[in-house]
Amino acid sequence: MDGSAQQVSAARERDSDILALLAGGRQDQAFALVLERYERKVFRLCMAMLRDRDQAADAAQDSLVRIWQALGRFDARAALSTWIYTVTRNRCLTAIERRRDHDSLSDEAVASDVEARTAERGGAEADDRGELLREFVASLPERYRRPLLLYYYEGCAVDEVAGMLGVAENTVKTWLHRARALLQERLIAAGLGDPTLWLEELA
Amino acid sequence: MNEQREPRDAAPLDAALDGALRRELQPPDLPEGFRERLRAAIVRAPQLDRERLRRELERDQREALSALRAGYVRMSRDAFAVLVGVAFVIGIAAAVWLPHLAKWLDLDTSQLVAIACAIGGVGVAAWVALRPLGDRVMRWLS
Repeated sequence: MDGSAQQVSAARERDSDILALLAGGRQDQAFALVLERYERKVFRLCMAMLRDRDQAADAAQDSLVRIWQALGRFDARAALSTWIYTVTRNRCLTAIERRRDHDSLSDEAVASDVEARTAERGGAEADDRGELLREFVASLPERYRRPLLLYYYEGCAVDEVAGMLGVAENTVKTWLHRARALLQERLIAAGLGDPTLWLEELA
Repeated sequence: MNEQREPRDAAPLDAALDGALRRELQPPDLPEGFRERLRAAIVRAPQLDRERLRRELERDQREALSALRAGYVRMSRDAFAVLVGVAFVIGIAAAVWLPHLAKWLDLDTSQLVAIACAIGGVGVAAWVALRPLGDRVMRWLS
């Protein structure tokens, strides 16, 4: 059995209690378990994709309502978690599409904004360092920023992040590697002295 | 949850960055009252769906009607323009060629106009009568 098949099998086993409740026609109890297990993850995925807390809350709520509406018809062909994350991602993509013409900044625009703020601050104060690091993360291209955020949100579980983003684990590992490399480059380019020391002083 | 950790690079900068990201990128908490709002949305959801469906149907119907109306107006305008254009061209042609043609055929102009109208009428009648037959032949050929 290859890695992805093992992953699907493990995910199915993890949610077997929910599937058993669904098979017994107890949708309300099944949904209560779904909420207990996935509510936070759905919100985190929305946060990673949408960047905005209010929009993420709306998208998470909308996704969970849709999941509740369709849960009784879930046919278990895919893992439950895969289906839940797919519904959530689609909802987020719709939200991104809607706001594209309004207020969304491109990756380049965010990156140049961060550079400008870094230049303004000169040597950052210790209290601001965490914020500056988060801004560096925010300035990463979407395909690297999302897995990086989810990786740390989900307690560094690569398989969980892969499931949330609907990609292979190796893809997530590659993205994480590139994200860290980009962050290191930007830390060095920002002229913050010794970046290792600067990061260690964040603690 | 943590069973599949990324292998940590030995490089000091990488390790420092990983540590800093672990500290700084804490998972966001659910917004206050999220669960209550979700439950309220679930209670409203079936009504919302019916309402949304009705709105979508009405919108589709409005769009279809307006497209139909726009098409009708465009067609009427085009037909009128073609009619005016054809009449104008026929008028010009008649004014230029009819005297020459009458002279060449040694006919009175009024006779020529009557003959032309008769030929035109027979042509239109033949076209209308034979069109179904032509359509059937075209279908058979295709």
